[in-house]
Amino acid sequence: MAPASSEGTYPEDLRYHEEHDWARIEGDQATMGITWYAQDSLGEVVFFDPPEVGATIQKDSSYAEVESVKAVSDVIAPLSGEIVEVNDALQDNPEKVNEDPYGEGWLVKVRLTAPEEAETLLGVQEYRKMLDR
Amino acid sequence: MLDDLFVYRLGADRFLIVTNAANHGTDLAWLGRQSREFDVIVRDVADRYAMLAVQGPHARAVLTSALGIELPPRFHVSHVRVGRRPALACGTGYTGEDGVELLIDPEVASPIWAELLDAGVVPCGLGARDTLRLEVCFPLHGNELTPERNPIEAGLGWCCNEATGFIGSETIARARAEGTAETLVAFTIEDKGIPREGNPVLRGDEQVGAVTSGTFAPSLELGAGMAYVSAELAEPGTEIEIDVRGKRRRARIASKPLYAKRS
Repeated sequence: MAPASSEGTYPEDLRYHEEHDWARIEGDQATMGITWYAQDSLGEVVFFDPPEVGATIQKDSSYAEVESVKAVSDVIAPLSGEIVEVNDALQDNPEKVNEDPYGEGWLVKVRLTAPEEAETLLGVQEYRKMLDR
Repeated sequence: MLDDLFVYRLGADRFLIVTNAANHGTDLAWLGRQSREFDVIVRDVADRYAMLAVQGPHARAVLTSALGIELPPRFHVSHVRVGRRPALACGTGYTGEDGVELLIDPEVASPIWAELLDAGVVPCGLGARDTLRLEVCFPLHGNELTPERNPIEAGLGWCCNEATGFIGSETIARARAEGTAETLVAFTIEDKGIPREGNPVLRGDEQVGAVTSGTFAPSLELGAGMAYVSAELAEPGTEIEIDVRGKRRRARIASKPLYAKRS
């Protein structure tokens, strides 16, 4: 069988969390979402329940829920911080999470309170290796 | 209610019961126990059949052309040959659409499956099937139908003719005469959120019921489900709230079915 990571895309410029989340870090802010593998496992996303702007999120803890027809999944924060923006476009078009998980399907923007946590996240090669295990 | 199942009359005094797979053992044991009082033989024939359900508006056309068999009308069963083996074609299903269930020899199930896919039939998993039966408000064993519930509160009074004196008919006659404290309703979420099995149904701060099945209904494009609620709240249009993992979602009791196929 082909390795699991050979399906789907995993951009080079992102940091990955083993719970299949990604973070695009720009200065003291990060955009977050779920990986191609996560959206593929979930199936068609029909609902995104976002946190409130201003809420604090904790690395490795759930900060939101994504729902497919079949199941609800917690979204795990790859980094700690405060929510500064949520992707409101997902309210009407949650399927963007499937169609474009690293672009229009982003979930939240966060002001990082512990940027050094990024050291513990996976690079793309490490994340791909994890998928193939 | 111990199970919900189809009974096919194959001959004047021959019946085939298709149990829910998970209940097969308990159903068989129950029938075996009851049979002692009657002049009847109960035989387990589960390993003689594989079932393929072909459902949807084009099911009959596809089956007729792919397998060249004559199909029975809705709720009838006919003896046919599939893969050169005797088989049963049943005008039944649990999707709310027209369709056929084929009971075929397990040895030919795999090639027939492949043949049907070649003819354009699309495989459907149980999760997808569950959205179909929910949109048309078919109750399911383990969700709406449990040993603690009776057919009257589940809205299945039309299935029961107490005058025949079947096992349990006194209980059902009493429930019908006296009414039940709770009743099974369908509901839709007004705004956002997807209800799931077990979510409490609230009115004000009071819990007035519980969700038995919930999903995102693809044809309606909103969260919907079924729940047992206090009988006085069963009127369509009644406002309720569903506690979806700690978030209150506004909902409204809806008429059954939630979705009716276009005819």
